[in-house]
Amino acid sequence: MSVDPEAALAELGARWNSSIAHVQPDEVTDLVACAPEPVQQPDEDEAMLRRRSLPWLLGAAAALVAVLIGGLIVLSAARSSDNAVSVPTGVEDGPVGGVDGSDHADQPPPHAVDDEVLVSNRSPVVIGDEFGAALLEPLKRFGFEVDDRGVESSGLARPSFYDWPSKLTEILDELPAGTPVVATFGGNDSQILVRADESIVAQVDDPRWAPEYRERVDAVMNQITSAGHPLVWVGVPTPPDRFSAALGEIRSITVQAAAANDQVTYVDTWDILERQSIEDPGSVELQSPDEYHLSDAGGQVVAAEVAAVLAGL
Amino acid sequence: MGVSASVRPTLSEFARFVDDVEPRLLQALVAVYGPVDGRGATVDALSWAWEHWDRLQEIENKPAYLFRVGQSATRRYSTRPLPTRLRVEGLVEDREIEPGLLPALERLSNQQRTVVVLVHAFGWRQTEVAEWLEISVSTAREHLARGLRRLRDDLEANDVS
Repeated sequence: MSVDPEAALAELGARWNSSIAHVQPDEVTDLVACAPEPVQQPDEDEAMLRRRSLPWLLGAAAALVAVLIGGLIVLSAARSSDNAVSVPTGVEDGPVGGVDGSDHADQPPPHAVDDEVLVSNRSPVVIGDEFGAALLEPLKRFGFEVDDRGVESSGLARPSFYDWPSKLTEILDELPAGTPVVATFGGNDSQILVRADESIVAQVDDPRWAPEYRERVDAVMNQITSAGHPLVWVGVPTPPDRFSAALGEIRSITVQAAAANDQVTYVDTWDILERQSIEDPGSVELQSPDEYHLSDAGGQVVAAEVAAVLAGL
Repeated sequence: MGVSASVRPTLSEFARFVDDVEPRLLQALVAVYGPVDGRGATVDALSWAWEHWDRLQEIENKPAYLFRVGQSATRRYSTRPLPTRLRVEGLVEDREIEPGLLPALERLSNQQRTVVVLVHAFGWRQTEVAEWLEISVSTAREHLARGLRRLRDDLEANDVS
């Protein structure tokens, strides 16, 4: 007789529901009262540690190498057309090239034969933090000329380190009308929000943090789109087994901000990586050892989605 | 990193909050980490809520946020790979549970196990699971289908009856 997993699971749930003691309020309050230090929101510390970790540096170095290699590739690559390129229609259409981790520059774009679509060459400017570096080389392979203006360790939290609104004014002045902008922000932003003069606006556990960050996101989005440039906002990745409350909040804020601006398309890295893990579970690492930045294969997967959005602009 | 002072709720206010949030939060974290670590993660998450009450009031979906807090705390403080303890002596009488179920659950991916347990053991709707895990409903559905298929194959392969 075959085993019915659903019935077995229902029995397990009933047993667990009846045997696991519920957490009582006084258990929590007594525990906190006895604790030598307050329990801090764990992800904020974790995000700080992640940014300072060696794997992070290795990831950034790898991304830099990818950029350099990408430059060489662009010099040598022959374009089939000045005004039209082929891009994949999306990661769910089939296997994505380079998922064995060996993103060879001379390989054709994924889906080049079966799922290609002809599009105008809407080559973008890439701005934001180092997360976008992993997208550069794949976007070039998809036929886009990429103008990389990303700055490592930058974000919207610390204009004293790099003032993106000010820099954007200069960048946007140079751009031909309608040039798409691809933005990656958030990976360095789960920290204190300061002004350009380093004065503090909001601590990470300050209720003012979220509305202030939303304002900064809105400002950057509006700055770009009001200048006539379509914006593709590539969201932060936070896989379910690496939850980060702070990054989750950043994701929620940016999703809502993008939804409020019809010139912004939100590319949900979180969901893309999740879908890819379903399609091809365990066969390839889509993120760097720091479990935040994208690997070459992950860059390929996310860039395919970005390319599809650019193609539709 | 500084921690600003936080206004705490009254005990009765916090008790009402725990009554409201704890059952789902406990189930969700048990689905991820099993009965022991999942319960510990629930305590950690509610402790954070007690200490950051005013910050929590700004958050729209408080249970789902505390779910992430509980996961982060568990990963931070645990010294062993997680989840590892679905089978707990004394907590569940194993003879009343399909013998191959817990080992088969342990062999699923974290995401598959979480979705399968929440839907079929605890009766959550797929939309609710998707909301808590912050994935699309179609992704949750796919995890569920693949997890259930693997579970069925695994149980049939080990069925001795």
